[in-house]
Amino acid sequence: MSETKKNEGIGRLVVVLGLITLVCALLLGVVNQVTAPQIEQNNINTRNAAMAELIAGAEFEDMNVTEPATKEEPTGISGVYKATIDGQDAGYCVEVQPSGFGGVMTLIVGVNADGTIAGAKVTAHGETPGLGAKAQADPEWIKQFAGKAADGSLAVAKDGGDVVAITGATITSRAVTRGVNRAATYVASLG
Amino acid sequence: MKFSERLKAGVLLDNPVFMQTIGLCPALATTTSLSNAIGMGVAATVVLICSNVVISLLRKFIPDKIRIAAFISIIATFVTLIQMLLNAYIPSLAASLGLFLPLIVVNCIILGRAEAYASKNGVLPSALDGVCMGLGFTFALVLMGFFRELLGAGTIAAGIIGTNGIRIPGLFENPATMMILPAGGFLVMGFILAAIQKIMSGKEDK
Repeated sequence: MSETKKNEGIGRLVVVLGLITLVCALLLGVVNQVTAPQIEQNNINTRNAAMAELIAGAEFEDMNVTEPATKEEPTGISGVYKATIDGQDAGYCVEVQPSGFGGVMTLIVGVNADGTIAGAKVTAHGETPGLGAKAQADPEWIKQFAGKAADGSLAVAKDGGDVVAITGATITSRAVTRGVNRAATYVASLG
Repeated sequence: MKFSERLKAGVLLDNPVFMQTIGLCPALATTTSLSNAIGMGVAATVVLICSNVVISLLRKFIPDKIRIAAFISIIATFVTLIQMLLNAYIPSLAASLGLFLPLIVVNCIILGRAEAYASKNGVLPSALDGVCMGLGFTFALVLMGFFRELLGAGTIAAGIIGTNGIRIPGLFENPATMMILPAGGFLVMGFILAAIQKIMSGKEDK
Protein backbone atom coordinates (compact mmCIF):
# COMPACT_ATOMS: atom_id res chain seq x y z
CA MET A 1 0.00 0.00 0.00
CA SER A 2 2.62 2.46 1.08
CA GLU A 3 4.80 1.20 -1.79
CA THR A 4 2.26 2.31 -4.42
CA LYS A 5 1.80 5.65 -2.71
CA LYS A 6 5.54 6.25 -2.81
CA ASN A 7 5.68 5.34 -6.49
CA GLU A 8 2.79 7.66 -7.22
CA GLY A 9 4.68 10.36 -5.42
CA ILE A 10 7.75 9.92 -7.56
CA GLY A 11 5.65 9.77 -10.70
CA ARG A 12 4.03 13.07 -9.78
CA LEU A 13 7.39 14.66 -9.05
CA VAL A 14 8.70 13.63 -12.44
CA VAL A 15 5.59 14.86 -14.22
CA VAL A 16 5.46 18.22 -12.43
CA LEU A 17 9.13 19.02 -12.82
CA GLY A 18 8.96 17.78 -16.41
CA LEU A 19 6.01 20.07 -17.09
CA ILE A 20 7.68 23.11 -15.52
CA THR A 21 10.90 22.65 -17.43
CA LEU A 22 8.95 21.93 -20.61
CA VAL A 23 7.04 25.20 -20.31
CA CYS A 24 10.27 27.04 -19.51
CA ALA A 25 12.05 25.51 -22.49
CA LEU A 26 9.15 26.27 -24.82
CA LEU A 27 8.99 29.88 -23.65
CA LEU A 28 12.74 30.31 -24.08
CA GLY A 29 12.63 28.69 -27.51
CA VAL A 30 9.81 30.92 -28.74
CA VAL A 31 11.32 34.12 -27.38
CA ASN A 32 14.73 33.18 -28.75
CA GLN A 33 13.20 32.58 -32.17
CA VAL A 34 11.58 36.01 -32.07
CA THR A 35 14.53 37.96 -30.67
CA ALA A 36 17.48 36.25 -32.40
CA PRO A 37 17.18 38.09 -35.75
CA GLN A 38 16.74 41.39 -33.94
CA ILE A 39 19.77 40.76 -31.74
CA GLU A 40 21.80 39.81 -34.82
CA GLN A 41 20.71 43.04 -36.49
CA ASN A 42 21.64 45.03 -33.36
CA ASN A 43 25.10 43.43 -33.39
CA ILE A 44 25.58 44.39 -37.03
CA ASN A 45 24.46 47.94 -36.25
CA THR A 46 26.88 48.14 -33.31
CA ARG A 47 29.72 46.90 -35.52
CA ASN A 48 28.91 49.34 -38.31
CA ALA A 49 28.67 52.22 -35.86
CA ALA A 50 32.00 51.25 -34.30
CA MET A 51 33.71 50.99 -37.69
CA ALA A 52 32.29 54.33 -38.85
CA GLU A 53 33.73 55.91 -35.71
CA LEU A 54 37.17 54.31 -36.10
CA ILE A 55 37.74 55.20 -39.75
CA ALA A 56 35.47 58.17 -40.36
CA GLY A 57 33.83 58.60 -43.74
CA ALA A 58 34.95 55.25 -45.11
CA GLU A 59 32.97 52.58 -46.90
CA PHE A 60 33.50 49.04 -45.72
CA GLU A 61 33.70 45.90 -47.75
CA ASP A 62 33.33 42.57 -45.96
CA MET A 63 36.32 40.40 -46.89
CA ASN A 64 34.55 37.29 -45.55
CA VAL A 65 37.54 36.28 -43.47
CA THR A 66 37.24 34.34 -40.25
CA GLU A 67 40.07 32.67 -38.39
CA PRO A 68 38.77 30.72 -35.40
CA ALA A 69 40.90 30.65 -32.27
CA THR A 70 43.41 27.80 -32.17
CA LYS A 71 45.73 26.48 -29.49
CA GLU A 72 48.69 28.35 -30.96
CA GLU A 73 46.74 31.55 -31.63
CA PRO A 74 44.06 31.90 -28.95
CA THR A 75 42.78 35.20 -30.33
CA GLY A 76 40.34 34.51 -33.15
CA ILE A 77 39.34 36.82 -35.97
CA SER A 78 35.62 36.97 -36.68
CA GLY A 79 35.58 39.48 -39.51
CA VAL A 80 37.79 41.67 -41.67
CA TYR A 81 36.48 44.78 -43.41
CA LYS A 82 38.45 46.73 -46.00
CA ALA A 83 37.94 50.48 -45.70
CA THR A 84 37.96 52.80 -48.71
CA ILE A 85 37.42 56.55 -48.84
CA ASP A 86 36.45 57.75 -52.34
CA GLY A 87 38.02 54.62 -53.84
CA GLN A 88 41.30 55.14 -51.94
CA ASP A 89 42.57 52.50 -49.52
CA ALA A 90 41.94 53.68 -45.98
CA GLY A 91 43.05 50.62 -44.05
CA TYR A 92 41.09 47.83 -42.42
CA CYS A 93 38.75 47.16 -39.56
CA VAL A 94 39.29 43.78 -37.94
CA GLU A 95 36.91 42.15 -35.50
CA VAL A 96 38.96 40.13 -33.02
CA GLN A 97 37.95 37.96 -30.09
CA PRO A 98 40.59 37.80 -27.36
CA SER A 99 39.89 36.04 -24.08
CA GLY A 100 39.37 38.47 -21.24
CA PHE A 101 38.77 37.92 -17.55
CA GLY A 102 35.14 36.93 -18.02
CA GLY A 103 35.23 34.99 -21.27
CA VAL A 104 35.64 36.04 -24.88
CA MET A 105 35.54 39.76 -25.66
CA THR A 106 34.69 41.18 -29.07
CA LEU A 107 36.74 44.12 -30.28
CA ILE A 108 36.75 46.13 -33.48
CA VAL A 109 40.24 47.36 -34.28
CA GLY A 110 40.84 49.96 -36.97
CA VAL A 111 44.21 49.93 -38.73
CA ASN A 112 45.10 52.90 -40.93
CA ALA A 113 46.67 52.47 -44.35
CA ASP A 114 49.83 54.15 -43.01
CA GLY A 115 50.44 51.38 -40.48
CA THR A 116 49.13 53.02 -37.33
CA ILE A 117 46.23 51.98 -35.16
CA ALA A 118 43.15 54.08 -35.93
CA GLY A 119 41.56 53.01 -32.69
CA ALA A 120 39.71 50.16 -31.06
CA LYS A 121 36.27 49.60 -29.62
CA VAL A 122 34.89 46.87 -27.40
CA THR A 123 31.52 45.76 -28.74
CA ALA A 124 30.79 42.79 -26.47
CA HIS A 125 32.36 41.50 -23.27
CA GLY A 126 31.72 39.74 -19.99
CA GLU A 127 34.18 41.69 -17.84
CA THR A 128 33.61 42.68 -14.21
CA PRO A 129 31.36 45.72 -13.92
CA GLY A 130 33.26 48.73 -12.62
CA LEU A 131 36.68 47.20 -13.34
CA GLY A 132 37.29 45.35 -16.60
CA ALA A 133 34.03 46.66 -18.04
CA LYS A 134 35.72 50.06 -18.23
CA ALA A 135 37.38 48.85 -21.41
CA GLN A 136 33.99 49.53 -22.95
CA ALA A 137 32.33 51.89 -20.48
CA ASP A 138 35.19 54.39 -20.20
CA PRO A 139 35.70 55.86 -23.68
CA GLU A 140 38.89 57.64 -22.59
CA TRP A 141 40.85 54.50 -21.77
CA ILE A 142 40.73 52.79 -25.13
CA LYS A 143 41.66 56.02 -26.94
CA GLN A 144 45.31 55.47 -25.99
CA PHE A 145 45.61 52.84 -28.72
CA ALA A 146 44.92 55.36 -31.47
CA GLY A 147 48.09 56.43 -33.27
CA LYS A 148 50.26 53.64 -31.90
CA ALA A 149 52.32 51.56 -34.32
CA ALA A 150 50.39 48.65 -35.81
CA ASP A 151 53.25 46.14 -35.69
CA GLY A 152 51.92 43.80 -33.03
CA SER A 153 54.42 44.92 -30.38
CA LEU A 154 52.08 46.63 -27.93
CA ALA A 155 52.13 45.56 -24.29
CA VAL A 156 50.74 46.89 -21.03
CA ALA A 157 53.11 48.77 -18.74
CA LYS A 158 53.42 45.81 -16.36
CA ASP A 159 54.80 43.72 -19.24
CA GLY A 160 57.24 46.41 -20.30
CA GLY A 161 55.08 48.20 -22.83
CA ASP A 162 53.49 51.62 -22.77
CA VAL A 163 49.80 50.72 -22.63
CA VAL A 164 48.35 52.03 -19.36
CA ALA A 165 46.28 49.24 -17.83
CA ILE A 166 42.85 49.77 -16.27
CA THR A 167 43.23 49.88 -12.49
CA GLY A 168 42.35 46.47 -11.07
CA ALA A 169 41.85 44.93 -14.49
CA THR A 170 45.25 43.99 -15.86
CA ILE A 171 43.90 40.81 -17.44
CA THR A 172 41.26 42.76 -19.35
CA SER A 173 43.83 45.34 -20.43
CA ARG A 174 46.14 42.57 -21.64
CA ALA A 175 43.28 40.98 -23.57
CA VAL A 176 42.45 44.23 -25.36
CA THR A 177 46.15 44.78 -26.13
CA ARG A 178 46.40 41.22 -27.46
CA GLY A 179 43.36 41.82 -29.64
CA VAL A 180 44.83 45.03 -31.06
CA ASN A 181 48.14 43.25 -31.75
CA ARG A 182 46.37 40.36 -33.43
CA ALA A 183 44.48 42.74 -35.73
CA ALA A 184 47.68 44.65 -36.49
CA THR A 185 49.69 41.54 -37.39
CA TYR A 186 46.85 40.25 -39.53
CA VAL A 187 46.62 43.48 -41.49
CA ALA A 188 50.43 43.55 -41.82
CA SER A 189 50.31 40.05 -43.29
CA LEU A 190 47.94 41.31 -45.99
CA GLY A 191 50.73 43.61 -47.14
CA MET B 1 0.86 43.46 7.62
CA LYS B 2 0.43 46.91 6.17
CA PHE B 3 2.49 48.03 3.22
CA SER B 4 4.37 50.65 5.22
CA GLU B 5 5.35 48.03 7.78
CA ARG B 6 6.44 45.61 5.10
CA LEU B 7 8.49 48.33 3.47
CA LYS B 8 10.16 49.17 6.76
CA ALA B 9 10.89 45.49 7.30
CA GLY B 10 12.32 45.02 3.79
CA VAL B 11 14.48 48.12 3.81
CA LEU B 12 15.57 48.33 7.46
CA LEU B 13 14.65 45.72 10.06
CA ASP B 14 14.82 42.72 7.75
CA ASN B 15 17.12 44.14 5.08
CA PRO B 16 18.30 41.20 2.94
CA VAL B 17 21.94 42.30 2.76
CA PHE B 18 22.56 43.98 6.11
CA MET B 19 20.24 41.96 8.36
CA GLN B 20 19.79 38.58 6.73
CA THR B 21 23.27 38.83 5.15
CA ILE B 22 22.18 37.05 1.99
CA GLY B 23 22.90 38.11 -1.58
CA LEU B 24 26.38 39.20 -0.56
CA CYS B 25 28.01 38.07 -3.80
CA PRO B 26 26.30 40.66 -6.03
CA ALA B 27 26.40 43.18 -3.18
CA LEU B 28 30.19 42.95 -3.04
CA ALA B 29 30.85 42.50 -6.75
CA THR B 30 28.69 45.18 -8.30
CA THR B 31 28.86 48.07 -5.86
CA THR B 32 31.92 49.73 -7.35
CA SER B 33 29.90 52.84 -8.15
CA LEU B 34 26.51 54.33 -7.46
CA SER B 35 25.30 53.82 -11.02
CA ASN B 36 26.32 50.15 -10.99
CA ALA B 37 24.56 49.67 -7.67
CA ILE B 38 21.33 51.16 -8.98
CA GLY B 39 21.53 49.07 -12.17
CA MET B 40 21.95 45.83 -10.27
CA GLY B 41 19.33 46.76 -7.68
CA VAL B 42 16.66 47.60 -10.21
CA ALA B 43 17.36 44.55 -12.38
CA ALA B 44 17.22 42.22 -9.39
CA THR B 45 14.03 43.85 -8.10
CA VAL B 46 12.23 43.30 -11.41
CA VAL B 47 13.20 39.63 -11.51
CA LEU B 48 12.32 39.23 -7.83
CA ILE B 49 8.80 40.58 -8.35
CA CYS B 50 8.21 38.41 -11.44
CA SER B 51 9.52 35.22 -9.86
CA ASN B 52 7.63 35.84 -6.61
CA VAL B 53 4.35 36.21 -8.52
CA VAL B 54 4.82 33.09 -10.65
CA ILE B 55 6.03 30.93 -7.77
CA SER B 56 3.13 32.09 -5.64
CA LEU B 57 0.73 31.15 -8.44
CA LEU B 58 2.26 27.69 -8.72
CA ARG B 59 2.76 27.10 -5.00
CA LYS B 60 0.01 24.48 -4.67
CA PHE B 61 1.10 22.72 -7.87
CA ILE B 62 4.78 22.27 -7.02
CA PRO B 63 5.47 19.31 -4.69
CA ASP B 64 7.70 20.07 -1.72
CA LYS B 65 10.45 17.65 -2.68
CA ILE B 66 11.30 19.30 -5.98
CA ARG B 67 10.55 22.89 -5.07
CA ILE B 68 14.15 24.11 -5.23
CA ALA B 69 14.67 22.67 -8.70
CA ALA B 70 11.37 24.15 -9.85
CA PHE B 71 12.16 27.58 -8.36
CA ILE B 72 15.58 27.71 -9.95
CA SER B 73 14.15 26.72 -13.35
CA ILE B 74 11.57 29.48 -13.13
CA ILE B 75 14.07 32.12 -11.97
CA ALA B 76 16.64 31.17 -14.61
CA THR B 77 13.95 31.26 -17.30
CA PHE B 78 12.87 34.74 -16.24
CA VAL B 79 16.40 36.07 -16.25
CA THR B 80 17.13 34.59 -19.67
CA LEU B 81 13.87 35.89 -21.11
CA ILE B 82 14.52 39.40 -19.81
CA GLN B 83 18.07 39.26 -21.11
CA MET B 84 16.97 38.22 -24.61
CA LEU B 85 14.21 40.83 -24.74
CA LEU B 86 16.51 43.62 -23.54
CA ASN B 87 19.21 42.62 -26.00
CA ALA B 88 16.72 42.68 -28.84
CA TYR B 89 14.66 45.76 -28.07
CA ILE B 90 16.59 47.95 -25.60
CA PRO B 91 20.22 47.17 -26.49
CA SER B 92 21.51 50.34 -24.78
CA LEU B 93 20.10 49.26 -21.43
CA ALA B 94 21.32 45.69 -21.97
CA ALA B 95 24.80 47.02 -22.68
CA SER B 96 24.88 49.16 -19.55
CA LEU B 97 23.62 46.32 -17.36
CA GLY B 98 26.09 43.95 -18.99
CA LEU B 99 26.99 41.07 -16.72
CA PHE B 100 24.49 42.10 -14.03
CA LEU B 101 21.62 40.37 -15.76
CA PRO B 102 22.98 36.81 -15.89
CA LEU B 103 24.37 37.33 -12.38
CA ILE B 104 20.83 37.65 -11.04
CA VAL B 105 20.29 33.89 -11.41
CA VAL B 106 22.79 33.25 -8.64
CA ASN B 107 21.36 35.98 -6.42
CA CYS B 108 20.18 33.97 -3.45
CA ILE B 109 17.78 36.69 -2.30
CA ILE B 110 15.48 35.69 -5.14
CA LEU B 111 15.58 31.99 -4.29
CA GLY B 112 15.41 32.94 -0.61
CA ARG B 113 12.21 34.93 -1.00
CA ALA B 114 10.68 32.22 -3.20
CA GLU B 115 11.41 29.67 -0.49
CA ALA B 116 10.58 31.75 2.57
CA TYR B 117 7.64 33.77 1.33
CA ALA B 118 6.20 33.32 -2.15
CA SER B 119 5.77 29.56 -1.79
CA LYS B 120 3.60 30.08 1.30
CA ASN B 121 1.62 33.22 0.48
CA GLY B 122 -0.87 34.59 -2.04
CA VAL B 123 -0.01 36.41 -5.24
CA LEU B 124 -0.57 39.99 -4.10
CA PRO B 125 1.36 39.73 -0.83
CA SER B 126 4.16 37.94 -2.72
CA ALA B 127 4.36 40.73 -5.27
CA LEU B 128 4.50 43.28 -2.45
CA ASP B 129 7.18 41.22 -0.75
CA GLY B 130 9.16 41.34 -3.98
CA VAL B 131 8.85 45.13 -4.13
CA CYS B 132 9.88 45.62 -0.49
CA MET B 133 12.78 43.16 -0.48
CA GLY B 134 13.93 44.47 -3.85
CA LEU B 135 13.95 48.01 -2.51
CA GLY B 136 15.84 46.83 0.56
CA PHE B 137 18.44 45.15 -1.63
CA THR B 138 18.72 48.24 -3.82
CA PHE B 139 19.06 50.46 -0.75
CA ALA B 140 21.91 48.33 0.60
CA LEU B 141 23.68 48.37 -2.77
CA VAL B 142 23.26 52.11 -3.15
CA LEU B 143 24.72 52.73 0.32
CA MET B 144 27.77 50.57 -0.46
CA GLY B 145 28.15 51.88 -3.99
CA PHE B 146 28.08 55.47 -2.77
CA PHE B 147 30.87 55.01 -0.23
CA ARG B 148 33.02 52.80 -2.46
CA GLU B 149 32.82 55.22 -5.36
CA LEU B 150 33.46 58.21 -3.09
CA LEU B 151 36.55 56.69 -1.47
CA GLY B 152 37.81 54.55 -4.34
CA ALA B 153 37.34 56.90 -7.28
CA GLY B 154 36.77 60.27 -5.59
CA THR B 155 33.52 60.91 -7.44
CA ILE B 156 29.83 60.99 -6.59
CA ALA B 157 27.29 59.51 -9.00
CA ALA B 158 29.59 59.24 -12.03
CA GLY B 159 27.50 58.14 -14.99
CA ILE B 160 24.34 59.56 -13.42
CA ILE B 161 25.19 63.27 -13.09
CA GLY B 162 27.07 63.62 -16.39
CA THR B 163 29.70 61.03 -17.30
CA ASN B 164 32.14 62.16 -14.62
CA GLY B 165 29.76 62.89 -11.77
CA ILE B 166 30.79 65.25 -9.00
CA ARG B 167 34.54 65.15 -8.49
CA ILE B 168 35.68 65.61 -4.91
CA PRO B 169 38.80 67.82 -4.90
CA GLY B 170 41.74 66.13 -3.21
CA LEU B 171 40.11 62.73 -3.24
CA PHE B 172 39.72 62.54 -7.02
CA GLU B 173 43.44 63.07 -7.64
CA ASN B 174 44.50 60.48 -5.03
CA PRO B 175 41.67 58.00 -4.59
CA ALA B 176 41.99 54.92 -2.39
CA THR B 177 41.71 52.60 -5.37
CA MET B 178 41.52 49.57 -3.10
CA MET B 179 37.97 50.55 -2.18
CA ILE B 180 36.63 49.75 -5.65
CA LEU B 181 38.57 46.48 -5.71
CA PRO B 182 37.08 43.37 -4.09
CA ALA B 183 38.89 43.98 -0.80
CA GLY B 184 37.21 47.37 -0.52
CA GLY B 185 33.83 45.71 -0.87
CA PHE B 186 34.49 43.59 2.20
CA LEU B 187 35.81 46.60 4.13
CA VAL B 188 32.82 48.82 3.38
CA MET B 189 30.44 45.95 4.11
CA GLY B 190 32.17 45.33 7.43
CA PHE B 191 32.02 48.95 8.52
CA ILE B 192 28.37 49.30 7.55
CA LEU B 193 27.44 46.08 9.37
CA ALA B 194 29.37 47.25 12.44
CA ALA B 195 27.64 50.63 12.40
CA ILE B 196 24.23 48.97 12.13
CA GLN B 197 25.02 46.59 14.98
CA LYS B 198 26.08 49.54 17.12
CA ILE B 199 22.86 51.41 16.41
CA MET B 200 20.72 48.33 16.99
CA SER B 201 22.40 47.38 20.26
CA GLY B 202 21.99 50.94 21.49
CA LYS B 203 18.28 50.64 20.86
CA GLU B 204 18.03 47.35 22.72
CA ASP B 205 19.68 48.78 25.83
CA LYS B 206 17.04 51.45 26.29
